[in-house]
Amino acid sequence: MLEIKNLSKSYTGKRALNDVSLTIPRGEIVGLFGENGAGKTTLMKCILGFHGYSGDITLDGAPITTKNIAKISFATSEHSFFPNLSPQGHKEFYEEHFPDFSEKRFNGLMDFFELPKHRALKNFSTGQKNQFEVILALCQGADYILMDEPFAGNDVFNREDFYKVLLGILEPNETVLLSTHLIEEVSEFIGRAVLIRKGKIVGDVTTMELEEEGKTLMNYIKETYNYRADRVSKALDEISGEAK
Amino acid sequence: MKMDFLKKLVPPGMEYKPELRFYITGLICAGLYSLSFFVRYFDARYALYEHYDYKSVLIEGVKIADFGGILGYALVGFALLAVCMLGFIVYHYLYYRQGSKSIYLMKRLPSKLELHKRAIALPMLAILGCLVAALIVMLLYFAVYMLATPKQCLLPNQWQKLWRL
Repeated sequence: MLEIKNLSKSYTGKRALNDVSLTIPRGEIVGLFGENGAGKTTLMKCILGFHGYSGDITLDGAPITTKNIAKISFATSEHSFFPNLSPQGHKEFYEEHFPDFSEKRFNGLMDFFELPKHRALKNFSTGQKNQFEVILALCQGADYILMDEPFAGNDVFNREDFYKVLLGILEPNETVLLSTHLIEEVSEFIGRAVLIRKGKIVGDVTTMELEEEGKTLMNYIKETYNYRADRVSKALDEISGEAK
Repeated sequence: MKMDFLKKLVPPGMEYKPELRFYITGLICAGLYSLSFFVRYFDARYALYEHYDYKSVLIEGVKIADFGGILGYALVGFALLAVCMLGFIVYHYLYYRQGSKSIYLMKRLPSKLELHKRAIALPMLAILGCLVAALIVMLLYFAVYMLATPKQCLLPNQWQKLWRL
């Protein structure tokens, strides 16, 4: 279980996370939603220990240290691979540092996405780079897989393939925390949605609860954010009125 | 020569060979520059004698300058090379932010030392190499100074003065 208690983080006076508490049990696929700058990436980076913070973050009851950090993997749209290294080189590097690295899953996914194994990553297309970033996160042998906008730049068919593969290969004990703006696309396969706004958790709901209430994820998010659908038409009216 | 172990001493995907070439070239240049010692030494040695057409006579009571004075800045090339190696450490750390944020991967490795090992190890080995090379060259030149200078022209305590260099 990934447990976050009273997590706060500030950047030079600006609060990025404000007293965030969140518990993610094993085996869940959790969608993390919020506007740009809401604190999604900061939350993930705090979990990974990239940022200092106040509060507590524990993994299966223990603080996250070098002893258990291998249980968490991370895929980011910023990419965390080595651009000059080939996938084969990455495989060897991961095998050396992550004892539970799954070679079988790696080879399977590389074949499925038809990625070349011996070409440097810098020569891949953006879509291929994203695919490889996610492949590494899935093959590390981690129990908790954090993904921060992993499909930014991939076409819709490619993303569709990935969602299917993700659902197909995840073991029951593997947990995914997926930050994305592609709400409708992921609503089909996430089990829970966490909404973050201005550094605070403003919504936390399972898709089952949404089904029972007869709501779609998109509607839930719009409600939680007090989205004003008439805002655009009002603005357009004003603009076109001015033009007249 | 198989130098593949060096791959594990630089950031993953980085070619160590250009750095090795730079280092070896630097060592050669530093070594060549250090030969300026001989210019100063033979000038100082020449000054110990009065020179006639076909004969040189040692001037009575004359003393040659201390080894340190004659050595001067002959070893400065090794020091400059060592400073350049410090620059490589900075470059290695920056490498993890070029083209991607592989720093994220390095920071979440179970072995926290890996990030620093791959950034620091090769330049530090090179700096150590510079120190050893400078020491060997200095001892070699000191041996030349001690053996090729007439005993009576040496100022006392050259060995003790050597340690102060």
